[in-house]
Amino acid sequence: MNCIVFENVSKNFDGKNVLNALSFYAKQGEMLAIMGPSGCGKTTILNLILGFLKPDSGKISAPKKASVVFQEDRLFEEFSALSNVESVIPARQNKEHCADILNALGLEDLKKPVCKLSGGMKRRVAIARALAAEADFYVLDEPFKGLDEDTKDEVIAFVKERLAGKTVIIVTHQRDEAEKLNARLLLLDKNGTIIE
Amino acid sequence: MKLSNIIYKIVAVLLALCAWQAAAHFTNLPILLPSPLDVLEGFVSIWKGQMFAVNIITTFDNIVSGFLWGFFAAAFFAVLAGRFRIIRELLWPYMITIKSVPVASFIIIALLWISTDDLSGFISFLMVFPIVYNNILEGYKSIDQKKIEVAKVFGIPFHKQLIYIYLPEMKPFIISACSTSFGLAWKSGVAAEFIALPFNSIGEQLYYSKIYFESVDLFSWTLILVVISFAFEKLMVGAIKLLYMGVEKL
Repeated sequence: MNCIVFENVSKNFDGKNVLNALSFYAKQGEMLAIMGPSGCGKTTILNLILGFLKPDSGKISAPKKASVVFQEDRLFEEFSALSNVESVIPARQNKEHCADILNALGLEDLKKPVCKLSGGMKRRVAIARALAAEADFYVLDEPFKGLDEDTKDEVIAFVKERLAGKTVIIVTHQRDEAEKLNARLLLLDKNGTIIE
Repeated sequence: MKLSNIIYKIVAVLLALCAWQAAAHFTNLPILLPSPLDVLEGFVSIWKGQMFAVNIITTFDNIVSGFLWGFFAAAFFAVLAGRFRIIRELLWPYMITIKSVPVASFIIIALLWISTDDLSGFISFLMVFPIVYNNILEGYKSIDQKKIEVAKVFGIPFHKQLIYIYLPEMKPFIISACSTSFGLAWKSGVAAEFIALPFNSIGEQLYYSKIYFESVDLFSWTLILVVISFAFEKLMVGAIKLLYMGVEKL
């Protein structure tokens, strides 16, 4: 069963055609990695899936509840790592897993304000926030950007384990990241056309 | 504040006092310009007077009430105006009028409508409203829309958005609004008291000092007004910062 479907979706920005009749799908429980050169429309695809942009033509179908790792961390800088992750958990729900996820991603001082963390640590908080939230599908926009190689492998392994069986769209520049996640590849050329 | 900054400020105040003393010495007309020492003596004598606390409380109560009503009302309307353009457009003529009309005109007009006891509070309210409204509206407009997108995606409820997004992003605007508007509320409130003469207020004391040529008292009350305004402004800004620290520890 398909969870996310793009049917002949086109999108222009200031007369420039970024996506041209793009069609693809992600099955329920599948991890789909979108790869391609800069400017090929990867982030536009994510913004269309999330409803931040409307397509000029074509049809998009996606479930309502998403959880996202944005390309920029978009964290609440003055608040602690734990508070950032807990912020996306509804009041009635148990929040104990938030600290566990942060610890599993190698973060120890959970009470430290995010603005005092390094770039790599902030990235891990952003990943933890997305993993902690209950969602119908997950969108990860270059989630491992800024992580050093050793940490990256550990984080990839944790993300893979945590999101097993969930529908995930991931944007990446690194083929090996997609391979380590066992993700199906969707390769775009610089014009936003599927080549693989 | 750094120690060097405190030292600079103390030196600046001491130099200003020396300049004042020198001017008083050369003019040698205490009725026009009493010396700092005379004013200090006057200050102590007012301080020891039976009505000092009553005068302070009366004025403080009137002006701070007007300030707080003005602050919260302006904050409420600023957020509404930020969210709904129609509110912004409807409030525009009032804002322009309040900002442009001289305080003295407002005081005289308001005297026709409300009692002398309530006048200083009302004038403080009017002076605070446009400053806080504009500051908070600017703060609201400057909120990072990417963070609002985060809230939308994760379905963060409004009360949490207030804590995590709106209050932190608007912090400098709220502090600036408080700091700027309180001084103005205080000055205009006392000016209103000076004209309306509510019973037992500092404005009334200033008025009597003026008509009886009690220059030392006039200067002493002015000094008291400066000290209270400065202290309360610092206290308020400190309290807001503490409140923020509490929120950020959530």
